[in-house]
Amino acid sequence: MKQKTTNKNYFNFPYETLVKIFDNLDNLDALNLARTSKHLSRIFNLYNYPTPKHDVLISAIAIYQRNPKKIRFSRTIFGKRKRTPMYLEFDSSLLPCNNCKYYKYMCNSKKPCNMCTRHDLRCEIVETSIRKRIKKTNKGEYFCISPFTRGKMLICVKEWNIEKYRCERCNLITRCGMMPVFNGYGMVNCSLSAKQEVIDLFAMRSISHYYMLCRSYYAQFPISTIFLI
Amino acid sequence: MDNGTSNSASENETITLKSCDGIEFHIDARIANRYTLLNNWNGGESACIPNVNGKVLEKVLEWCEHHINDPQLNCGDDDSRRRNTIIEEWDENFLSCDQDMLFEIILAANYLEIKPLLDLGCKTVANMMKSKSPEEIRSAFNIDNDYTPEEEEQFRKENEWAEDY
Repeated sequence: MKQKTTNKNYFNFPYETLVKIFDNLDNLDALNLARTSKHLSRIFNLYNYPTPKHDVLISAIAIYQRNPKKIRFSRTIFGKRKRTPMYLEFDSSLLPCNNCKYYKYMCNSKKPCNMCTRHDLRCEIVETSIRKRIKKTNKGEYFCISPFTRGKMLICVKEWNIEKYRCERCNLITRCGMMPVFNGYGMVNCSLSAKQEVIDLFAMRSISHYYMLCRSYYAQFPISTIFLI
Repeated sequence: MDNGTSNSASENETITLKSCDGIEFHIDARIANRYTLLNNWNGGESACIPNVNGKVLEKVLEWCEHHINDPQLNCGDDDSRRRNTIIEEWDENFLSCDQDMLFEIILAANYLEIKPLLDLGCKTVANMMKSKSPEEIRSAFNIDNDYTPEEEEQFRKENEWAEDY
């Protein structure tokens, strides 16, 4: 189909029309279109991040002290085709060396460990970051396989409709999975979290700790948020 | 079940539409019956459709005439129609016009609330953008770049997730 280039800028289409165009593009093509101008990027943002009907509840069964150093999650999950990938990125320095994997993952040292020395092996620490994609179970729950221990699920992310947990007056979340959520300094904050700037999902052992965060809360963080260990 | 063609207008009945530049079109009344807005403009000699010129209106009506016997989709089908990326051969040829005309048709379809034609136009534009870089899209569609390189990079980073698929 040969078409000559237009001399006019037609991309001041009504919003609904531009949305229809975005609707026919896959994620990457939609991003490329959005990158062409600020106007289109605004439409892209409106298209991808409208007021959500439900937000994401992140729950973690924090069994391990070896926390992921980075967690990336969607600000909202909704829509028909658009899905924001979620992954955890682990600190490679905490991983066992390649050789020691044969010895039940006992090594987490950067230096040659006893096990390696004894068996005349060279410790090879994984240099790159370990990124684990969060997958979905048949029940619709999200999980991530632990890089530390074979076969263990490290995180579970569920989608919960949090609308019913919102206060009608202040529009903030009123309950988390375990206990009431308090609002401090304009930030939704569960009393189990000591520091506001840290989402303390992984700090506690053997505690199933639920957070329900509203969209404005997510908006405070860049998509890739570094979690302090 | 209503297949969209069982309306009150008979085959011989015609109505008159006038474009904004004064060109008159006599069309099958059944076409106007399918699209409410066209029907509203059925005002005989004096009525004209603002914002749509004769050349574009002719194309739009040509499309409507070709699809006069298509079953009318209800609201629930809207999504499946949009997701379907296949464009029929006749429609593809019909929209193989220059970009100016294509965009005018989309604007007219939007204005006249002819949803299937609007969807088709958007699908065609989207197909023209597929696998193109932002720069290629800009030059193909004459879009002004009002980003600084830093701003563009920032926006890309914020939406990095889209690149993962």
